[in-house]
Amino acid sequence: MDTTPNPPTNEPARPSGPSPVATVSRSTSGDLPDERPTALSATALRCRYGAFEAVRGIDLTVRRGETFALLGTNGAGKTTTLETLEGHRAPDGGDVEVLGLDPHAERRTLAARIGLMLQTSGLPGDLTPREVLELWRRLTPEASDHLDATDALTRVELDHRAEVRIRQLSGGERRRLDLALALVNDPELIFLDEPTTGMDPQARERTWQILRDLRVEGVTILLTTHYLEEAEALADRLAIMHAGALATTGTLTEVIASQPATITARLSADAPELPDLDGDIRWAGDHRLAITTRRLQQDLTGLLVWARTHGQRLDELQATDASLTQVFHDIAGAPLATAPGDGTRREHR
Amino acid sequence: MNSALALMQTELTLLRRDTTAWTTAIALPLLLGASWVINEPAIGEGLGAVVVFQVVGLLIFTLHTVGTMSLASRREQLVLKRWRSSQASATSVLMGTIGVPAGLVVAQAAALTAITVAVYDQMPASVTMLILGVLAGVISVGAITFVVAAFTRSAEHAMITTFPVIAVLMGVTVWALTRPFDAFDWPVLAVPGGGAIQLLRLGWEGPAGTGLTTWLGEAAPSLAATSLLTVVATAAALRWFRWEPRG
Repeated sequence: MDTTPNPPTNEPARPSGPSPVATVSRSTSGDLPDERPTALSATALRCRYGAFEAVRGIDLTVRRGETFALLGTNGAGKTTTLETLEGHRAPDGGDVEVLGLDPHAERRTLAARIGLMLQTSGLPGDLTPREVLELWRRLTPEASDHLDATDALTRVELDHRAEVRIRQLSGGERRRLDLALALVNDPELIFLDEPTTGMDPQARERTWQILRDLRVEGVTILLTTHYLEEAEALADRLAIMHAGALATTGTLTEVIASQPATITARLSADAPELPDLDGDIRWAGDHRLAITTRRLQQDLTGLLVWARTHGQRLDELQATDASLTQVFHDIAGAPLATAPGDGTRREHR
Repeated sequence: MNSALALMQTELTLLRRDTTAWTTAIALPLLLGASWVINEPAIGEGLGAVVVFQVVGLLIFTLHTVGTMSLASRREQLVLKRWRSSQASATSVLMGTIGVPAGLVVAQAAALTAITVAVYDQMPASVTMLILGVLAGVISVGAITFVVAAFTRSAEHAMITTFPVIAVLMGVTVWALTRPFDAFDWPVLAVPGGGAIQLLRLGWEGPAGTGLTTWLGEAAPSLAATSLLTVVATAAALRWFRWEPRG
């Protein structure tokens, strides 16, 4: 999601009071400059199932060549968002544009230029991988190019299973066939809905390598996943969805930086008063100290200077930056937003 | 069109590999149709009754039952959703799915009629009317099949949901054949499937040797009745048909 850019800084200022950590601007440096054209965008996107609002006014932009991961809890609205971007359903509110097209109204034109890996295969079990790929080539006649069925299967290391009925493939093999299907029309943009679910670690790593190769080739990738390490391994930027809203968006560094770091140590019983630090100080039993801070370097320096000045030992000293897991659990465990529609500014601590 | 043909070829492959569907779509109606050639039905007179029973049997088993099963199972397995994510239009996906059973009805009707003609050495009064009758049945029952498929959760559920249409078609057929043939028999034309039955009977029992204008005049009420039924069923299908399983 692109929002008003914040000045890049290693030490974001700690906001006073409950902070809208939800929205983090994307990096303006590195190999993904903001100037790259937009591959897809959603503005104030809303999707409803009857009275239930599954997606509540989110803003999202993915740029050409970028790998973007959409994380979220079960029922967060990831698949609904993805299906709307793919053109499977019309939005109930807001605007959506994919490769310059309205994905719902111009679904058939768009289908030639994108690849889809649906959450469920939706392939007849009595067909073979080769038959499905040959069929797909005929169902996307306007694609700029097509991979040969054998080449597509070779790319996902499934060529040895080309003539086996799909119902006889393992769960991981079916996901790889889904990926081959997403690649067969040489797409500019691919949507991957939980691409490695059901794969063993080895197959997952091989799939990640295929996706990395696609990124190098300039293919834009939007993926949803439950695996945080998948997002960490693949994504240029990521967003965490919760209860139909985007709770946080940015590069991995930015998302993690939006959460406080932690300093822990054990002090002696006669330790003098601590210096004035930026973070929140909590004491546990046995003189254990825990400081949660958004200015890790500054507070750690202050604590070390204080210890040297007063001749204090900092036993079991640890300074831990926030992790994506911590951010995710923080968001998933937070109460739901009270203002429906404020899809990009959920507050959590 | 190419998409619809590609999907039809796929459906044909799937039909070949599914013994239950193959038996219901091909073996059962052909055996039933052949048995009516050997043992003429007790209801109705002449070969007109034989052909009407044969074609209605095909419409029931090959088109309605297999078509409903195919649409329901493809939707349940999210195959329809998958095909819809390609460049194929909605019409192509639906035609691709139900085109095979529809085409089989035409082919089987031609085969059974040829057998009937050969066995009894008797030609129909009008082959054109006979073809129109088969096509009218395929189009109207095809439209009804989409409506029934809209309310069918799975292939197994189709065993229940197809029954009302089967019962109505069989009932209408038996009742219509008890009445002396009259192209303007409005009570028969007013019931679902009546138009197709009248066209089939016209093809066998109509005024032989008359001109095209007379034939079209005789066929007009049946064509109008079939068109009306098809329009109503199509409107209902557009209103209720879903591409994905209901939540």
